[in-house]
Amino acid sequence: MINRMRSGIVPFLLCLAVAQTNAQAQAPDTDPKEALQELLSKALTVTVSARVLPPDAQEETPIWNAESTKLTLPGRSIKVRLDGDNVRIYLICTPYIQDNGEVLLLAQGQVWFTEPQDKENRYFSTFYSIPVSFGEKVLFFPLGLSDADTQQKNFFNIEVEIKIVPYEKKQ
Amino acid sequence: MSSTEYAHLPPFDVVYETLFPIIYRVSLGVTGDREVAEDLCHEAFIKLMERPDLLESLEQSKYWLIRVVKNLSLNHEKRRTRERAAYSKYLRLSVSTTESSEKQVMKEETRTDVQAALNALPFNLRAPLVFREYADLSYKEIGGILGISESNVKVRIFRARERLGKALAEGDAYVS
Amino acid sequence: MAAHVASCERCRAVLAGLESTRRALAHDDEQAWRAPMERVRRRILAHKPQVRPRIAAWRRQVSVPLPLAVLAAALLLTFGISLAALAMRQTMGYIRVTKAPAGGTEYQFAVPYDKVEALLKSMGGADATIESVMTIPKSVKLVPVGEPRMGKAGEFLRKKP
Repeated sequence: MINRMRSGIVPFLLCLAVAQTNAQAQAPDTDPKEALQELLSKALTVTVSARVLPPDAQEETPIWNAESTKLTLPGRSIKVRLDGDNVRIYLICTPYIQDNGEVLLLAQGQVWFTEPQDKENRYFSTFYSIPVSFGEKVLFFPLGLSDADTQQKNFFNIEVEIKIVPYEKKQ
Repeated sequence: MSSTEYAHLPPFDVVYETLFPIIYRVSLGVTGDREVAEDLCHEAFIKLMERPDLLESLEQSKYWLIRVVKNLSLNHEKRRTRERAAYSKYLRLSVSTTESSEKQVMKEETRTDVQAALNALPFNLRAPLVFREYADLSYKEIGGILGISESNVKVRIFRARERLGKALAEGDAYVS
Repeated sequence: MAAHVASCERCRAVLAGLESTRRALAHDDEQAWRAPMERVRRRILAHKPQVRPRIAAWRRQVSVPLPLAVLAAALLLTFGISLAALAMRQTMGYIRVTKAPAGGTEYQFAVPYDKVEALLKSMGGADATIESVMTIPKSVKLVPVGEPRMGKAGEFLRKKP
């Protein structure tokens, strides 16, 4: 019985080895350089522009603005932090490419705010899911949006603009 | 029990003296043999010594001990079915008779008759009846020990009482 | 039920029999258990816990049927080969791109993460970090004027003079 088993074990092991080799062959074992090129073809450029607009909003010219451009991949988040005197704002954006080629933007806005008068700390956190096209602008108002009628004097609106386009390698 | 971790628990002696009468009656009721009942009690309390965590609650200890007794008595029952005739003869001989009043003698004989009638019941009827009458366990607790439903426990106890009653009536047992 | 028992002679007799049985079972006196309790107590006090001899782990023998042992050895060998192959692939790295059955594209990355980061950094310039910080001037006082909002730019209409 043992001899019969021995004669069966060797083919069994060979089968296992062959199966393993076949499994490896089926996976597209791409060259790493080609693989990274494949990644680049899917890369996205995310541009985040932050602006502080005057109270009356009649002028589109912001009193302050800043811009940041990030390179990322679908499913990989980028984070932007805005530091003010009494406020800190986090914006975490994660773009995904849908089957129809459109972008699904998942964003989380976190706001840490200190009341100027009583120094009380407040925290807001909101999640968003917005389908957009490449180049279409998305606006985020971390402290809300007021119209001219309800604005308080000497207080400003802050808005953050997000734009996503496919990465194009500069020549 | 020398561990400071269990310093707040009641001494084992207290638990032993409180629970032994119940556990012994249960063991005797289920096995029908005093020597076996003593062995069961000895083994059960030895196991309890190894579980100081159970000493926190007398009810918990009682329940646990009865479960142990049930398992041990089941093994005994399997042996007993093979040696039924010899055991019942031994039971009658092992009961000590004392020179006392007629009432005492009649009590002794009744205990023997009751035990004999209990022994005549199958284990699955005898055990729940003993747990109910001698350990005062609830139907739910008995069901938990035997692994049967509460309603099944009630049915078995009813049948056990019926059969026991018939056996005792035929034997003219003395009831004070 | 009590009303029925009061009116039914047969049930009354059955109940009386059951109660008689319960009284017979409950019949007991101290002599029944006192002596056994002391005997068992003496036995418990005389009990010495058994100590199992400890066997060094390397000396323990495990008995396994031969066919099972051979199968286990074969599986271990295969597993070892697979692990070695996987380790090789890890150093080389790979990206598998497949079409998911339900549509869409699935990317499986086995490229070390730091290589991806290095690639992205090289394209993004010196300050191409994941997080960027923008500092708002202190003279700018900000206060919440409403709930945070996000949406496509066209959804927010700005009043024009």
